Amino acid sequence: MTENKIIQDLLQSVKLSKGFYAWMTFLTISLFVCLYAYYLQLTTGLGVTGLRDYISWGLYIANFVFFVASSLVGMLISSILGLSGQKWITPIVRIAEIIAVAFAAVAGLVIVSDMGRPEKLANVFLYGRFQSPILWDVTVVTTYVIISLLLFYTPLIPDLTIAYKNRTDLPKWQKGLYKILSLNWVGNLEQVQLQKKAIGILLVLVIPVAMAIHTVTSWLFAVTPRSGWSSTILGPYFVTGAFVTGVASVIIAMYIFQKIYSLKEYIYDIHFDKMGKLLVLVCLIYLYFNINEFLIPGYRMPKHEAAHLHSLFSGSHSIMFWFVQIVGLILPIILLIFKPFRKPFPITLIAIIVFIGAWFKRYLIVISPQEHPFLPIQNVPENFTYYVPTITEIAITIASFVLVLMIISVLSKVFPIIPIHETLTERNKQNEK
Amino acid sequence: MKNKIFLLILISCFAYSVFSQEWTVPDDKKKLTAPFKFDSEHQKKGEEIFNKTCVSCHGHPGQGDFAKLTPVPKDPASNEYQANTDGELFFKISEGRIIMPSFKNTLKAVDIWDLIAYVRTYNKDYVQVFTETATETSITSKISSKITFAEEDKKLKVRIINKDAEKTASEGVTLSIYAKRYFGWLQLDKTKKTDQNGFVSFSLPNDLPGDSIGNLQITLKITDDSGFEETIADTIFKAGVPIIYNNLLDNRAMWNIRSKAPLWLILTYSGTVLTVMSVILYIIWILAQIRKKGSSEI
Repeated sequence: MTENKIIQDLLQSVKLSKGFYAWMTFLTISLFVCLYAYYLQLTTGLGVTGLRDYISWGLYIANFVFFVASSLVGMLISSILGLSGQKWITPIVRIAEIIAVAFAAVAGLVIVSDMGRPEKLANVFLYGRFQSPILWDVTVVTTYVIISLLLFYTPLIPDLTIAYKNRTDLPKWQKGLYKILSLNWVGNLEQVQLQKKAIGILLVLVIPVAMAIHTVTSWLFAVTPRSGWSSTILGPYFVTGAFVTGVASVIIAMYIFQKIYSLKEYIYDIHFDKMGKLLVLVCLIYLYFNINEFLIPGYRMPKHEAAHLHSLFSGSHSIMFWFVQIVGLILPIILLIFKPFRKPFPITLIAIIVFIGAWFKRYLIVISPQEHPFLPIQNVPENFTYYVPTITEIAITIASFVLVLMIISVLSKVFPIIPIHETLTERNKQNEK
Repeated sequence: MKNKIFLLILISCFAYSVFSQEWTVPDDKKKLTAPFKFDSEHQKKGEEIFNKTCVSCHGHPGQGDFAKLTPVPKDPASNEYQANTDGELFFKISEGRIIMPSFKNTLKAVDIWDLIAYVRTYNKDYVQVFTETATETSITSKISSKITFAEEDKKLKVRIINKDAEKTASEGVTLSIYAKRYFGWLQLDKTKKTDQNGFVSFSLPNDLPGDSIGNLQITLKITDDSGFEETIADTIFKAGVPIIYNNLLDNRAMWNIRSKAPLWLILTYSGTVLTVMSVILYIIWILAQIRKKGSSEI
């Protein structure tokens, strides 16, 4: 493949086509429909949700945990695999970073949607206590969004110059944007070294921050004395679960981008195969933590935790629980061990199931422990004792997914989705050999 | 085996009798009557005491909002309750039973009579039986007391002297001493009577918590024939163990306000945030350098 062909191939997706506008119009309309639900919640209060005194964290917080989890994949792919010298990740690094930016940015908004009085958000900063994990969480989520944006942007700089030079048909604003963002990149030695240095630092920095973002999120639960939450392994349990969600979402995104941007020559079977093996690995680790998290309390079955555990194993949440554990975790591990299932189409289907299972897993983690507090629930209306999300609540949650899709769509359409500069450098290296 | 069954029957009979047994009041106490006429002033005071002390279990009279406990706290407006004589009510409130607390150390006799005056307003048929004593003069006008505290053997010695011309010792006066606690008064030692020289001695416990320097507020009460207690002395003695109460909000702690957060936590949080932020600023500086080293002619 010639250099020119690669550039043309990878830049052809950068086009605000009619299809893109149609897709964005659809997303915008959906967003506005859902925002009407938010308007209802804002004017009437959180009473429009299914949240009550006892179960006061519902769909929103479950979704927040899920979004934070999904965003962790940026760190996994670019840092852990990148720093360990895995070359095959080059075409999917940017996809992972876009997913990280989109989910982390919207996660903050999801928290705001759980507030009855969002205008009081500033109080977290004005009166926030150093002792409160909520302050730590707000700090670390914000930091992770900034670092993910930098990690998305810094490797993009050479590509912006390439795009500026090679595409003459772009609208004026887009060319202007490329010119400003490309930071006068000419590819001289000094610039290459500086960029390498910046990426190196970022790749190391993002690891502790990403670990912290989900560990601190788990502490929001773990520091609360409740059966199901007060567990010492909740931090690693959340982090390993996050890798499962993240890898699944990258596989889904890879498949979609490969199809609609016709990138068959850049993202091909070997990438799906490797990602499949990675998914098996992270699922196995997560399964190991699941066994620890449920087998030990289930074996001891202490009186105060029994109600919660029984509701998961054989009670009101049992169908969801066993679906999540068997269909969402064990079955994918077994299937993905076999090579045919790691082909693009079957692995995407499996990834979708893992993705859905992971979402319901967060729902179980957040909601079911609240139904069984240590002090008995008494003298309250019957609907305070269980939780069912309302249509309004579901619509607002859908809005957050729509926002994620919008961010992913815009970033992947305005900027080349596969790193051009790195692809060229690597192919040159291979040719030299 | 036989023995076991017998024991079981005995235990169940006993358990049954404790909970179902009528609350029997000694005959002499039954006939006790209030030393004053229940007028609106007493009823008003009684209502205040009732709302402060009784309403949480007995509820508001006649509204049936009493607490669901076993045995059931009786509604003061009920016929069953009102069937008690004044003496019976006085005894039951003073002594308490099972979960009904004893109020004899918390309320003064006059308070209990005020309470009875109040609950009787819920009984239209009630006619107060009371024998007006000819002279309702205070005991304190007749006697005087002298209290001394011996720190070495923790004994409180009291001498009661009649306020007559000869200053004779008052024999056979019933006395009790109480120490002030958070909730009401704690009786120390037993109720005792003065000897022929008017002396009585109370021994105090060694481990009674006092204030920061060990001071205790102690009252001496005299009981008259009708069961009325009257305070004849109220003094402070250094008879307790000094206790310094630490306010849990005084020092830096996890549960305190932001300005009193643990130092290590403030340092860890601020240190981490500053470190990460300075690295991010350094990255932005590198990006600025990249721009500087390039050329705008691309």
